[in-house]
This record gives sequence, structure tokens and C-alpha cells, in this order.
Amino acid sequence: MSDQITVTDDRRAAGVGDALVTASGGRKVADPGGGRATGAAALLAAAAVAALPLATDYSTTYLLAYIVIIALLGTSLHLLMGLMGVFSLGQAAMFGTGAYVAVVASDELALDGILGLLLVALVGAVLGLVMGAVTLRVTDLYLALATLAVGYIFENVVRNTDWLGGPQGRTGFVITVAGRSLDDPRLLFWVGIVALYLFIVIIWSMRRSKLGRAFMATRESPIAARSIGIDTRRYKLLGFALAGAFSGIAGALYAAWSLVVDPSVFGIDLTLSVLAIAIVGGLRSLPGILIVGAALTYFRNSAADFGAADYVLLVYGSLIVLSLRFLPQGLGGLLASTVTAGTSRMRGRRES
Amino acid sequence: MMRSKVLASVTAASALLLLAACGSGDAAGDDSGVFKFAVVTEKTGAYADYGLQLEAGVQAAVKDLNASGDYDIEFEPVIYDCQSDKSICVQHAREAVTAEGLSAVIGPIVSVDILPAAEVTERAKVPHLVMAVLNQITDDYTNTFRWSVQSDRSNQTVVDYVEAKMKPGDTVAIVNATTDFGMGGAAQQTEQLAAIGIEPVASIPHDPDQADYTPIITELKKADPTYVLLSDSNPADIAKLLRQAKELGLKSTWIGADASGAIQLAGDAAEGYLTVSPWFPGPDTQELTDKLVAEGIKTPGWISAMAYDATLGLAEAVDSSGTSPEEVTKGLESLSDFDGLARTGWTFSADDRRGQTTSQIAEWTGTEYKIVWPEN
Amino acid sequence: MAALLEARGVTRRWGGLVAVNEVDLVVETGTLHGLIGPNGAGKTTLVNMLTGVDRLDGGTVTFAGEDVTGVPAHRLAGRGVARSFQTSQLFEDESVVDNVMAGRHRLIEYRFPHTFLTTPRTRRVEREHRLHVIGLLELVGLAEDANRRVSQLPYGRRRLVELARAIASDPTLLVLDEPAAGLPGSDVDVLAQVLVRLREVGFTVLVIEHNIGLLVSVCDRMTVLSEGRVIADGDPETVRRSPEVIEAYVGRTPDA
Repeated sequence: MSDQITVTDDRRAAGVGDALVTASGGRKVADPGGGRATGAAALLAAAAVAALPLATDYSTTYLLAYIVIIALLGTSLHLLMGLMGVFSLGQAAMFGTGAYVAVVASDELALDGILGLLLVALVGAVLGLVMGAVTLRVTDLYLALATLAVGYIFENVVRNTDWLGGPQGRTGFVITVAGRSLDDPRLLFWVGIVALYLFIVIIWSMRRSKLGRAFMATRESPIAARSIGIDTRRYKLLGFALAGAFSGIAGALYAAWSLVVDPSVFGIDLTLSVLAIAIVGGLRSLPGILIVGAALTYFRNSAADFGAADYVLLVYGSLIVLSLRFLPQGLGGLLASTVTAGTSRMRGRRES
Repeated sequence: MMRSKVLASVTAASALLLLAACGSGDAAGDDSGVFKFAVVTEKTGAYADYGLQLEAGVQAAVKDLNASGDYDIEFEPVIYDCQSDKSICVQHAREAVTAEGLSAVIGPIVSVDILPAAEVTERAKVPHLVMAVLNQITDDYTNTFRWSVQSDRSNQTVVDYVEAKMKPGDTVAIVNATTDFGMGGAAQQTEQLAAIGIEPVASIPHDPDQADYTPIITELKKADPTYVLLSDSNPADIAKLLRQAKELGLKSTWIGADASGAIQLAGDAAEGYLTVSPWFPGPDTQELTDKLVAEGIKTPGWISAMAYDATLGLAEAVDSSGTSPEEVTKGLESLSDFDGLARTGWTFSADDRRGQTTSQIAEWTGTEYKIVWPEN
Repeated sequence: MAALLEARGVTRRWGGLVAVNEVDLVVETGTLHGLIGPNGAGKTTLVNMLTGVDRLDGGTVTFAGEDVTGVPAHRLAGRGVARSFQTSQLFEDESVVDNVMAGRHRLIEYRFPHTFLTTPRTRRVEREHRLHVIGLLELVGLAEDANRRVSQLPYGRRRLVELARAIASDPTLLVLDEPAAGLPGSDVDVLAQVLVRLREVGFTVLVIEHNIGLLVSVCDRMTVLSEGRVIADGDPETVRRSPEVIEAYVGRTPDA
């Protein structure tokens, strides 16, 4: 990658930089990862969430597993739309592919989930790469439509492929992880939460590294990003591949959860409900998406208990309209501004 | 700042999850003397018309059972609305058989919802009473009992009727929607006609949701069949076909499946239309029709009638064998020539859980259904 | 002094209009070079071609002795050409340090898997670069704002953040597109000082301006563009007295 000229240039430039740093007189740099106590508290909270199934009954644990699956999709949307600013509606294609690959891997290849999920992630990543490559030259509405079209194409192909069960889909499969069936909702939840935590750690790590900055620079202005040496195409492909891998895993877990895969896994419904979660939660706020994802999924499943089953779509629609009108940054924006206001108030108190 | 924001959110998320965890599922009251069973159905959403019929049938039957005094046990349905959403149907089926520990499940009605629900009940070894017509639902699952007529048998009923009524020179045409239901039905009918030596004079597929079906009617007029066998489950499309056939003066007799609302949409054009269905409302079945109307269903259809019979059968099984899932299964498997109010002669065994062997055909007279097959 | 950037006969057409017409431009290593011209003279178009943002309809560009005609922007940046833009391209919601860190993109390397998971190695590399960035912020007078969000900064300081981000890539050649645009007078003075300091620590800088005054006082060499052509080139005093330049700026005093 770096030819000789660049190396010499770098060395020269580094000399300049060293001079500058010496000039700064060894000033301490604030460590962005500081705050060991809050870090430990976050770990504790994560562990508490992971321990939830120990306290819940079977069907509630299944609901928790479903929430984790939706959270995985929401997180991939956060990566694509929030961090990268790519308005992709191709989630369903990756999700559905993951579902079918998982079923074929267990049914036809007799693969255990440990290998099966890796295969799913790989296929999802490749599909993400292809989607990214196909849409490299288009943006905004065209990109949204192009990615959406991929889902439609896949749905039609699968519907007409007898080998995959055709329109009725496939049933009667058992997906295992380490030899144990994912029929056990706790195992399903824990496999999902491992994937989700891994994804969150990757995204948090990226945000505070050159990758996150490259994504954001590309989002703000591809031209400016290229001018500071960021190969915007490469990062777009990388983002799509990551989103594809994790959406695929979400799909695989969904197959284990729903016990049936049929072409409807490629449908627009799922994309739209996850999009609603992302908008209400705040595209750029991972915590916002996770909270809203859990809340809306719980609401959706229990709508009948609230007597609101007839109004689920109405509630979703209203929430989207209201948050676009009053909270363009979603719940995450609200959280951020509350916290900012809180800290500045505290700071003020400390200074006075 | 970033950290505390994250922390606050994670805490909030875990609190929410805990809330979700606590919100549901205090286990079913094990008070003896009451038999609780699950009804998972589409009370809202796209298939609410069908799902509400199912619920009404169960409710009507439960009222009658508990009022009859024939049983020392009281029957109580636990109703779950699965909102015409596959995922929610799975979730509620799980709730019913795991958290609530119920010993039997009825519904949902639409095939995309019932397949995943049956996956759940089969794995939990809980008997599942279904109304779906899809062959697969009793072929692929060992715990399902069909309280209706599966689609190939309905098609056979149509072919039997045609065979009985055909005079020399009469001909048959097939029209079908290019949906799973339409293509499957047309394929079965073609095969069944071939078995009695009849080859359709025309076989015309059409895409669903078209505005103009005159090309099909024109083609039919050219072939001029005595009977048109229609495989289409979309009420609006059936109505359009019937109306345009009447306008263009096609003389053939149409025989098609029972699609709720098609008759009303077609208006006068539906006069003389033959419907094949496990059950028809009307003067011949006034008693059951009235019971279902009392449950708030304006035009009761076969789904509510079959759900009524299924609930009676479930009660019989519980009465004869016991209330655990294994006992209910055994009870259902030993039902023989059991008479419901909608249909008689319900017979199940471990090897045959396919339900009724024949369907019925009725003519719409403009005001009511007149049953024309089987002939008394 | 050797030529670091050398453009020969560079041309760009917009339909029938020739925006940049056979322009020659030589930037020598270690100099502060001004490119001036009235609005619409083709300055930004020329710079876009030199930095790989826009394509060329004719001519060649040589950088550090290599032909870089038509090389895309991110590759040129990798070879040491950095630039700032007229309009703000910053991340509003992030801190000044994070914004400037983006400029160090090509220099940061943690290797897999440290790129995807924050490890001690990642932290170490990040810390080293942050330290460097803090030094840069002192150079441009932003040290006090290091941890503030960009959206909280006044306009003049944001321009300095952009400047710092461009420098952060340790460029061999720094191209600044109208860094003084919209700045109040006091900030322009600060900017002029910063430019001089940049040259002192060894950067080669190409500054684009329509404000002739700022450049005359600090540049080693100036090139004047008008209607897509070079009308003057040389040391600032000579250029300022050139009749073509006075004519191009007719109606204005040369030192605005």
C-alpha cells in the first residue's frame, strides 16, 4: 500500500509532528476511554441483562430472545444509517438470507450452529459487500430503492425455488449450538446476546477509532473525506459487510425462534418496523435504538393486553411523525441533551 | 459524559426488560373443575374477519357446553389475539403451552400463521385443533386434528358433483388465480377430472387483483363450457369474474370455493353461483346460525361452524380421557362418528387426523344458500 | 529549491466555457505560496484538479517528481497532499480533537483485530496520535477548545479546526481553500500568524484567497488567476504592482 515515497514523506512529516508535540510541552491528553467506575457499571448492567432469562419463564424468555433479534437489526441500521449516513433498506435481504442459510446449514449440511452461524455471518457479509458494491455510485433515494429491490428479488427467487420449500417455506428443522437445540429459549437468548454485545463492542470501538471517524467523515462529505486520505468506497463496503454479517445472524436466530422460514422473511414489513425503531430511537444513538427496540417490540407483542391491538400501526405511525416533528434526533437526541444539560448544571455548581 | 449517557441508557433498557419479564405469565390456575384451553386467533389485523369467526364459534360452543350440565367440568377458553402476525402467533402459542401450561390449542386460521404455531405445539406435544384446509398441516404434524375438509377433498367433492350431473355433450373449464391456493386447486382438479376421463376444454390462469377480466370471459365464451371450476380465494376477484361473466352473457355454471364476502360483492351476478364449503348458514342450519349470530357474527361462515364443532369434540375428548395433553390427544384420537352441530360423523385416529372426507355444495339463490350436494 | 507541485497546461471546460485555461503553476518545497484571483477566476476549479477532486481536460500534474495526473483524491492524500474546503465539512456533534483526529486517518495503523475491538494497543496508538493532535491545536491556537464540541464553537474557530484537520495528516503539501473567508479582521490576523508558523515548522503551503492583502504580507510567492488564466506570477511585491493585476482588481484598492 505504501510505496517508498510515502514512507520517506511520512518520516519527514513525523519529524515535523514531533517538533510540534515537543512544543506542546508534554501536556497530558484526556483519555477518551477513561472513567473506570462507569465502565464497570456498564459491564454490570450488561451482565444483568444477560442474566434476565434466569428470572423469567419460558415464553417471556422467548420474547426476550425476539427483542435481542430486533436489537441486532436495529444496531445494523444504526451502523449504516447513523454512523455511515447510508440510507439502506436492504436489511430484509440480509436477514432473510441469514434465515435460509441457517436452515440449509443445519438441515442439508448438518452443521452445528457454531459453524453454521459463522457461515451465516460470512454469507451475510458477502451479500453486504455485493449490495455495497452495486450501490457504490448511487445515494439517498436511489440507494434506498436499489437496496429495497434486492429484498424483492430474493423473495421472488426463493418463492420459486422448490428446493428451499417454495412459497410454503421450510419447517421441521432444528438448529443447534454446541450440540444443544436452540429450542431452548435461554440458549437462543444467550447466543443472541453474545452476538449483540460483540456487535455493540465493535461499534463502540469503531466510533472511537479511525474507522468511526472515517465513517463520519464519509457521511458528512465524501469529497472532504477523500481529501484527508479516506478511501470512502472501502469504508462503505466494510460497513455494508459488517451490517450484512450481523443482520444475517439476526435472521438465523429468527429462523430458530419462529420455527418456520418462508419467503415473508424478505418482506418490507420487517424493514419498516425496524426503521420505525431506528427513527424513534434516533439513528445516531445506539442506546436510543436499543431502548426503543425493546419497548416497541414488547408493546407490539403485548398490544392485546393493553387493548391496543387494533392501533399498533397507528401507534408506530404516530411515534414516527411525532419524533420527526419534535425529536428529529429521536429518543437518543433527547437523552444526549438531558445528559449534557445535567453535566453542565453540575459543572456550573462545581465552579460556583 | 458519553459514558454516563450509555450507562443511563443501559440501565433503562435493563429495567424495561425486567418490566417485560414481570409483566407476563402467572401460571394457569390449577383449580380443578375448570378445563382451560388456548384459542390463538387473528382477532385484529389483515385476517381479523376469519379470526373473529373462529373465536365466535368457540365462544358459542363453550356457552352451550357449560349450560348443558352434561359435564362435571367447566370449559374456559383463554383467548390470544395474534394480530395476523406470524411472530406474534408463535409467541402466543408458546405462552399458551409453556407459561400457561394449557393442554390444547385451537387456531389460528390462516396457513402462514398456523404452520409456525403447529411447530410450537408439536414440539411441546400438545394437541392442536385446526380449521386450515392445507393438506400439509395434518400430513407434516403428528399433533394436529383438522376440524374441516382438506382442500383436495373439497376439490374431489366438486369433481364428484360434476361427474354426477354431467350430461352427454357437457364440458368443463378450469379458471384459477396464480396464487398458491389457485394453482394448487387447479392442479388437483385437473388430476381428479383426468381420473374420471374428463379433459377441461379450457384451463385459464389469471393474476390476482386485476381490474378487467373480460379477456378471460371472452376466452370462456369461445370454449362455452357447461361448468367453470374456479380456484380463487380472493373475494373481490371472484366478484369481478362473476359480474363480468354476467355482463358478457356467459351461460356456464360457476363452482368455486367459499371466500367470505364474494357473494355480497358480486350482487345479482352471484345468483346461481355454486360454492363448495364444509358448512353453510341458512334455514337448513338455522339453530347453529342463530347461535353464531348471537356471538356478534353478522354472516356466520364455515370457520365459525367448524370451530363450534371442534370445541364440542374437545369437550368430549376431555370427558372421555382426561385433561392432560396426552389424555386430550388420546381422547381426540378415539373420537369416532362423533356428531357435532355443524357436521356429523367426525372420526379421528392416530393415523388419520384429516377430518371430514367430503364437503358440501350450495347454490346461492339471491337470498340464501340452498344445499345441492350431497343430495339427500 | 525543488518544485514540489508542478502543473503544466492544466485545462478544464464546462461545456463551451473554459474555466481553467492552460494554467502553469509551480509550488516549491518549503514555501508559502498564494493563489489569488477575483471571484470566478477559476481558483477552486484549479485546486480541485490539483487535489484529485475534479478531473482534468488537459495538462499534467507532477507531485514530488511523480506524474499524478488523474490520481483520485484519497490516493493523493495518501501521498501527502492535504486540503481544506471553503464550506465547513466538520462533524458537528464531535469534539475538536475527534475532528482533527480524522485528519490523521492515513497515519493511524493498529492492525487487525485492534481496529474492531478497543484493545490496549488501540488505546496506545490513539493516545499517541491524540497527543500529537493536541500539539497541533496549540500551534493553531485551539488548545483551550480541544474537548469542546464543534457545534459550540464560533465561526472563526471552526475554520481553524478545519485548518488543523488538514495539517493533522502531516502533509507534504497543504492546500487551503479560502481559509479567511468570512473571518472578522482579528481572526484574519491570527490566521496569518498561523500560516507563517506552519511554514516555519516546515510545511509547504498553497493558499487560495481573493483577499490580496492577507497574502502579500506573508507569502513567499504568488500566482494570480483571472478568467481562467495566469496573469501574474512571482514575489508578492512584483505581483502587486503588475498592471494586469491592478486591472483585474479594477475598482478596488489592492489591499482590501
